[in-house]
Amino acid sequence: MRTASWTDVRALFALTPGTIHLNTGTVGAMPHSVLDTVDRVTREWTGGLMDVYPPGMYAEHRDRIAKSFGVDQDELVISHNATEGMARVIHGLDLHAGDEVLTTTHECYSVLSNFNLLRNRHGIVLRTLTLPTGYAVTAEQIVDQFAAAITPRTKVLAFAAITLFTGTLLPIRQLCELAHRHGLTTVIDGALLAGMLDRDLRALGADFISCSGSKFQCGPLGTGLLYVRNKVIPEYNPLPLPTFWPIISTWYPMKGSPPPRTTTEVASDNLADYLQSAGSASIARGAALAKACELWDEIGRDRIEERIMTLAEYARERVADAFGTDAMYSPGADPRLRSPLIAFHPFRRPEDAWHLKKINAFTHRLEAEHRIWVRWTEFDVAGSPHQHYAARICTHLFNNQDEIDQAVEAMVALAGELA
Amino acid sequence: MNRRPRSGGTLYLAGPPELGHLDPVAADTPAAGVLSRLCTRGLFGYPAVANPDHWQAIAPVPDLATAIPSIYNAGVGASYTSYVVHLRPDGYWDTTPSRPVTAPDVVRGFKRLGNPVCRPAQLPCFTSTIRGMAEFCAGYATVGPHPAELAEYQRTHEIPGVFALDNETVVFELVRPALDFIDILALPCVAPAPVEYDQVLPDSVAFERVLCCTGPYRPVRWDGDRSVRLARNPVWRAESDPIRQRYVDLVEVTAGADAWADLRVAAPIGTGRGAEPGHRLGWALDPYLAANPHLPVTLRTAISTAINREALAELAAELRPGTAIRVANSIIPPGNTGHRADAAQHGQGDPDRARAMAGTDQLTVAAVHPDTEFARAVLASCVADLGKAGIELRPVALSGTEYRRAMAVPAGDWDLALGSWWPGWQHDNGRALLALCQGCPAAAELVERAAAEEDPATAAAAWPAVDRRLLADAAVLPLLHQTPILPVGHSARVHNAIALPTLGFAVDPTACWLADD
Repeated sequence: MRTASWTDVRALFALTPGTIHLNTGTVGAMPHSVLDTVDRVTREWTGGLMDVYPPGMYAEHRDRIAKSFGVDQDELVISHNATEGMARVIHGLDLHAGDEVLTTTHECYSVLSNFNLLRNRHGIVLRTLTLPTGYAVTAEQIVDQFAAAITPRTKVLAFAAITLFTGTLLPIRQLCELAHRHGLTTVIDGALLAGMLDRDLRALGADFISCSGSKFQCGPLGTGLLYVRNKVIPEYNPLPLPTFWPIISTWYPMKGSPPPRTTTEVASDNLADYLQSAGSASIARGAALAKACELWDEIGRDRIEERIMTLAEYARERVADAFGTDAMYSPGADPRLRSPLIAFHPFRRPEDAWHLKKINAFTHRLEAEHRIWVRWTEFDVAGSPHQHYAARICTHLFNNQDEIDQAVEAMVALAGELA
Repeated sequence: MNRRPRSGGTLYLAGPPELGHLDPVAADTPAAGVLSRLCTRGLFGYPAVANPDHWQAIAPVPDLATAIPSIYNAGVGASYTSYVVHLRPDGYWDTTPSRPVTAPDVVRGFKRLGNPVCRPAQLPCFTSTIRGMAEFCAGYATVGPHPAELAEYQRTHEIPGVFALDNETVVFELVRPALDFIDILALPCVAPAPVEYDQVLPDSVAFERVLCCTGPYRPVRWDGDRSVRLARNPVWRAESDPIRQRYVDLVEVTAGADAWADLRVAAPIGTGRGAEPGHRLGWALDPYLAANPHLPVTLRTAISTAINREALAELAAELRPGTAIRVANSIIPPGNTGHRADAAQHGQGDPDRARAMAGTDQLTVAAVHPDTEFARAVLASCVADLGKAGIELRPVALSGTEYRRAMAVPAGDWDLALGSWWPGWQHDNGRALLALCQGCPAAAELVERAAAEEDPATAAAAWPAVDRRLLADAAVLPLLHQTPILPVGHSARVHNAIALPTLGFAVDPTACWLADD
C-alpha cells in the first residue's frame, strides 16, 4: 500500500457511487476492510460462551495504535468518540471554585457545554476568546491572543487542534509550550487530528488529546482515541502530571487509591486501562478501528498527510479563485494554519454571511441536486456583532481534483442562483 | 355539567377600570395581557395548563414562531447573542384580504415598542438586551406625537439587532447573552405590527379603527372605554395556534369590577381558603409606592417608616377576599428570583420616628394613583398614617391613560405613584425588576450585572442586592405582596377555567366553554 496510487487507494473505500464526499469533518468514509471487520468480528462474538471482557480492553489494538501515534499503550484509550473523550477529561480534571479555564468560542459545543457544567457544578471560571478568522491570520496572532488572556488563576488551556468551524489548524506545539511556561494543563480536542496529521501525540506536549475514530481516521462511528499523558518526558512536557480522576471506570479500585502518578519516564500505573475498562464493550468496533489504523500505517501516515494537504491546497486555490480570498474564513496565507477544512462565504453580498436560510439552502441543494456532501458551520467572528455562517468543504485521501473541480463549479452556480 | 367542550354562547369578562384600545404595545399589565391574548398573537406565549406548578405552565412555547430557538435547531448561536426565529406560514392578519404575518411585521412591532407616546413598562428589558435598541429608542423619544412623524422615524431608522432575513425569518442580536430572552419575547407587549398601525398614534382611540387581529377573536363593537364586544376572527385557525382555543362565540368585556361577569380579568379573586396561595410561583408586589427621584431620600424613608402595612394587609383582605396577602418587607415578592425572607420587618409603622426623619416642616406630597376602589382605600390609609408623622399626603386619581403617562416619566409631576408589579415571567425573572428601577439607575445597573453573571452562586447572591439597593434608596416603597389563593373564581357556567400564572393568574378566556343553558 505504501506505493499504491491514490486511485487504487480510493477504490478501498465504500464510497457511494455518483456522490462527492467533502464532509469528512463530520464523518469519514469507511474502507471496505473496516466494514468487513465490523461485520466479521460482530458475528464472531455473537451468542458465544466466550469471555467478552478481556478483549473489550483492546489491549493489543491499543498497543499497536499507540505506536502509530508515538505513545504507549498505558496512555491510549479507544473511546466512543471525541466528545466522550473530551467530556471524560473535562470532568476528570481536578478543578475547584475560582480556577480558570481558558478556551475559545470556536470549540465544539460539547466542549463548551461540559465546561459550563463544571462552572455550574464547581464554580470554575470559564474564559473564552474568539479566534481570528480569515485568509491572512497568522500563528503568532493566535499564540499572542492566548498569551494575553492567561491570568494567575488560569489552570487549563483547552483548544481544538483543528477548529471544526473554520478549519484553522492551531499552532499546537507553540500553545502547549505557552501552557508549559505558565504551568497549565492542556486539553486538546483532536477530533479531526487522527487520520489527518502524521503526529507524535507525545511530542505535541499536551496532557490530553481526544480524537475521533470516525472522521479522518475513517473508522466506524462510535470510535475515538483518547491520549492521556501518563509519564513525564521533559523534552516534550516538563510539567508534573496533572491530578486526574478517571471517571467512568470499573478498573478504579473499590477501596484505597491508585498509586501516585509518576514523576519520571516510567509509568506508575496504566491510566488508560482505568479509562478503557468501562463496562462491556463492542469488540467489533475496537477491531475495526484498529483495522483502519493499520491501513493508514500501511499506506503511510506521512504520505496520507501530504496527499490530504496537497488536495487541500488545490481546493483552497480553486475556492479562493472562485469566491475571493476575502470570502475565506479559513487561513491561507500562513501555511502553518492550513488544514483540509476550508470554510468560506459563498455569496456575493456580505450581509448574506449571516443569512442562515441561504447557507442552509446552499448545502441542502448541493446534496439534493448535485449529490455533493458538504456542511455549513456557524461561529463568532471577532469584531462582528453577527453570527456568521460558512460553507465548509473537507478534502481527504479518497477525494481527487476532479471532484474538487466539480464541487467548485456547482457551488459557484448555486451561489449565483441564491444571490 | 359539560365535561366535553361545547361551542357557543357569550362569555362576560369584567375588565380593568379602563379597557384601553387593545394595542399590544400597551399590554404591560396582566389584565391588558389577558385582553390582548384574545385577539393578538406574539412570537411566543404560554399554553393554559391546569396545574400551575407544572413546569409547562411557565415555560414559553412557540406561538407565531415555529420553534423555540435553541443550539440544536440552529436558532441560537453558541455565544447566545444571536437568535433566529422562523414564523409559521399560517398566522394571518384579519385584513381584507387577509394576509400572513411576516418578519417585517415583527420588526415593526419591535420598533413600536420604543414609540414616545406609549411605552410598555418592560421596555428596559429590551433596550438593555437587543443591540442598538437603546439608541433607537433614545432617538425615537425626541419625535413629536404625530402618527406621520412616528411612522417616518420607524421607516428611516433601524434597530440593528432586529432584522428580517426574509418574510419568514427574524434575527435578533443581543449585546450580551440573556438566558431570559425567550421569556422576554413571550411578553404580551411583544407582537408583530402590520403597516396599518403606522397610521395612528399607539394606544389611541384611533387605534381601534386599525387594529388587525391574529388571535381567535376580534372586536366588533366598542362602547367608548366602557365595553367592547369581540366575535370570532374568521382567519384564525385552531390548528395554527399552539396556545389558544376557541369555544364561545362572543366575548363581552366591561370595564371595572362592579358588573356581573363570568371572569375577572383584573385582580382575579381566589376561592381557596387559608393563608397559602396553592401554588409555588411568584407573587406580586401589589401595591407599592414609587418615589420621585426629586424627593430627598430621608423624606422617602420617612414616608416608608410611617406607613402601617399591617393595616393595609387587613384592608386588602377585606377588599380582596381569596387573596394571600403579606406585608412587603422586601421589594421582590415570594416565589421570584432574589426574594429575601430575612428583610427587616415594617409592621405597623412608626410615625414618631418618621416625623423625626422628615424634620419639623409641614410637608405635602402628591401621590398619583389609578382610579380604583382598592387604590383609593390604600391611599386613604396612607393619608392617615403620614398625617401622624406630620406629612400631608394628597392623593390624585388619574385615568388609565393619564396614569400611564405619569408613570412613563420617573421624575414627572408627582411625588409618589401607587403601582403594582407582576413578574412577566415566572422563573429566573430577576430582570423583570427593571420595570421598578426607572427612578434608581444604580439598581438597574445591579440588575444588569446580576443578569450577566455566569456563575450561578454569584448570581443568586446578586439579585437580593438589587432589592437592598432599591430599599436603601427608597426608590420603591413596598407595601404588600399578594397572590390569589387558587383556584381562581369564575361563574358557575364556565368550564375549563385555567389560571395563567404569567398573567396574574387570570383565567384564560380562550380556554373556557360555557355550560348548556
